[in-house]
Amino acid sequence: MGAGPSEGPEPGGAEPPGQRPPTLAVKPLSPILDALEAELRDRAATWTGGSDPFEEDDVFNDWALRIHEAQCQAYPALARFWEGRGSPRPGHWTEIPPVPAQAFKSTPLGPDGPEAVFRTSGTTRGGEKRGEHRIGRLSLYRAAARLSYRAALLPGGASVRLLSLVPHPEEDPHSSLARMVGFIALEDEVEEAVWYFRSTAGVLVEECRAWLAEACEDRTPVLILSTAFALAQLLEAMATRPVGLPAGSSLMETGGFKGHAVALGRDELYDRVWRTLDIGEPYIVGEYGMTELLSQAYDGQAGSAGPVGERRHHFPPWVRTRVLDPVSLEPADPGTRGVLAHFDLANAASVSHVLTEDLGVLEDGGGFRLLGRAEGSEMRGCSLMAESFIRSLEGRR
Amino acid sequence: MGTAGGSGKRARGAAGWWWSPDRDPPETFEAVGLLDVPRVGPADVTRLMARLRGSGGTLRTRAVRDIAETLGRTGERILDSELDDLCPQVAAEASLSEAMARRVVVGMAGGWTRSALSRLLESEFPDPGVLDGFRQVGGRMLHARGLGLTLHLGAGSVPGVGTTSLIRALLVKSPSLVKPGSGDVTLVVGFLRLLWEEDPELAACAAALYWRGGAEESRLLEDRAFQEADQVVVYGGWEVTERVRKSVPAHVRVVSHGPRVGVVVAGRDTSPEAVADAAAVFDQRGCVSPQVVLFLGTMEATAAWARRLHGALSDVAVEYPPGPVDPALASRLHQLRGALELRAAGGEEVLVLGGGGSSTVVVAGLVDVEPLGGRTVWIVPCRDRSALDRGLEAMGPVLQSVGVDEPALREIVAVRAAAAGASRIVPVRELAFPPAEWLHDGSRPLVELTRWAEWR
Repeated sequence: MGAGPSEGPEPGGAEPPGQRPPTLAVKPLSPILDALEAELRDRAATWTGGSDPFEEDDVFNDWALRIHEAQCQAYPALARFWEGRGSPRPGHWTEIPPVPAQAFKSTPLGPDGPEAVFRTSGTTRGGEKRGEHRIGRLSLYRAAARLSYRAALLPGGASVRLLSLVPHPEEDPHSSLARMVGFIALEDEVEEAVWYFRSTAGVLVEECRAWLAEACEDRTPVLILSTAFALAQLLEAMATRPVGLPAGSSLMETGGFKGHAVALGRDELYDRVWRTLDIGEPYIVGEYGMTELLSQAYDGQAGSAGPVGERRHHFPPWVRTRVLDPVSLEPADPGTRGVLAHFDLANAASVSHVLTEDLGVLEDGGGFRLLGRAEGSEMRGCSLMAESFIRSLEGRR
Repeated sequence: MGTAGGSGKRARGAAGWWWSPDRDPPETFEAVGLLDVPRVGPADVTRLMARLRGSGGTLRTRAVRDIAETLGRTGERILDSELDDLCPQVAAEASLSEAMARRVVVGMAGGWTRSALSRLLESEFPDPGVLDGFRQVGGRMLHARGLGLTLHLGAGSVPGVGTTSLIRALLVKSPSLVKPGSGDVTLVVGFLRLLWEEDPELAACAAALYWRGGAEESRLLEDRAFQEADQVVVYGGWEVTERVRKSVPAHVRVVSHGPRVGVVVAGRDTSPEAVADAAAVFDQRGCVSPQVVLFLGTMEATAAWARRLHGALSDVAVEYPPGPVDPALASRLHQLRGALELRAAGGEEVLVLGGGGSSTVVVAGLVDVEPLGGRTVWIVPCRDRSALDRGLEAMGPVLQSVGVDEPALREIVAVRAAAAGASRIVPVRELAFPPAEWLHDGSRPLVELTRWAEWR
């Protein structure tokens, strides 16, 4: 293991695949969680992103309704919420009203006594409430995340050396992303993993530089896992001293630049990756994940990812995504932009149907095009808006 | 109407500029939203501002009463004969319904009439002649002068803000360049055209030029305008006002009107209709529009009044429909509504009414308040007067206007609200359109644009 808080417990923080948890944190949900986890684990060895029984509408719908029923029993408040929205006994998963992502900021969602609590990140301006997602079973998170990241980031099964520009899960135990990177570090293909990002100091540039220089001498490809912002920091620092990483090296970037002074378009970011690290566009994969969801979407497979402007994000088959009209919340016309709502079966222990503020378009060939966050229009006046109000009242109410 | 402004080679959109027709008109334009905006560079801005500065000599020879008379006549022309022409365009650029645009223009132009401007002058200066030369004021010989050149920077979409700001500067004899907000171009350009018809000499002391605020390509124009001005009056959110403060040279005065919040203190006898009307004006984009109601009463009484308010907001929407729905705002409202409904389902004392239509009413604690606009009113139950005081005090740094109707509350609220930071405590029906002489953000709007000299 490399530098940083990577010594000690396994970075994933969960039991290895194949072992069952000794107790179940969420008793009313236990049967469905057991069944779902078994389903996902069965796929672990074979699934490479191809067809899957969950793609059958009936299969998915049956799972979704069973999970919904279990969630209603486990969480009376959620049951009352859905009842209030006029959907006591839905016949199809699309009839289950999605719970807005913002609800995670005001209502604890997930079981009491969770194995982990994931929190959304605040902005640099602060004053923002942070969402909280209680995780009933980390093993289920790992199973759900694993199938997708293996397909997207470790498609050939070749050995890699891993550089994480995401905090170690011990340093940031409430980060779902950090936890996922911890899972990836446990994969057999990962020969070595180093964590060169600190929450207080940012990217450890000198350590990165030395490690990457050493990696260039080796033939083992490198896998870099980073937020877009940390990546931009690294590229800026290395711009005058680029390196040529071994063939087959790849990179996963996630997140945007919200709240940061520096912002780069993806075209420019990827171009800089190529010029600075010699990792070409086909080897750069974009990840879309949320604290509120246990499954992730990727926009390609390392080594064969398409041109950045043509990419579509794909979730695994146990997630269904709809694009909804932002005003009516009715399904948007095909090809029309709207807000994304995801139904993630892996969220069985908390709430599966989540309404986001992300904008996107569903594509004919499957997948969705991510268009960023629904930002406020220019129609503003001199009245104070939420962020400024909260910021100004910080500590006074 | 005059020949200047929008008379260039393209005639597709509304004019995004105006300056006196005896100066070179722009030659090329680009479409920015609904506007035709001249393609200009920093050198053009320098030339324009130099000419405006040069007009200051003429302006200072004019008597302030004469200037006020001319500006007032121009404002009255908007009310008397120009509404049908202006309002559809105002509605389109500010994303308001036509009925609301008309209401806004009439309300704002009410402060631009001869009587309103005369009242403004007299409320600011015991002898307005102090703007024409040295006068005896309280035993001292004083003269108030407007600065050499004022740049007005609007960053919002509240129609009328730019024109009000321009009128104030011209009253103190400061030549002006107005960069209006995106939803406020038509009124500024329209006012200047009418002023040119009334008084070309006075109109030549002002110009309007729209550029997209904050856009990378506009930075050069903006920076140059900051260099050339003696004073910058900026209206907008904190991001804008902070950016301007950082960018303006140290010797240039900055008068900043940042974002604020309007509040109503209500009890069970407060008319929900009056609150609904005040909240609906400008589609709640104005700092005078109430976003928060501090309601003195139990949760039950608050909830009952909230339902009446929601009904009243629906009624207002019939006469004054909201503008086109902003998808981002709609998305935020869905998030808000769902999150609050879930809290209510969990047993918390919160209530949300509406949310998908023309208005939203939320009953929740002050800690939950997130002003969103779009006719969203947050009602905070206050069980007693100490809770009311705490609410006012907490909002102190951002308080603007406080509306209060309950006779038993008026005096105590006035004292407490002023102590907290409010600059205006008025009956609810007067909230939406303050008079010309209002103490904007707690300052005297003409005095704050002047520099004083004493002769002993």
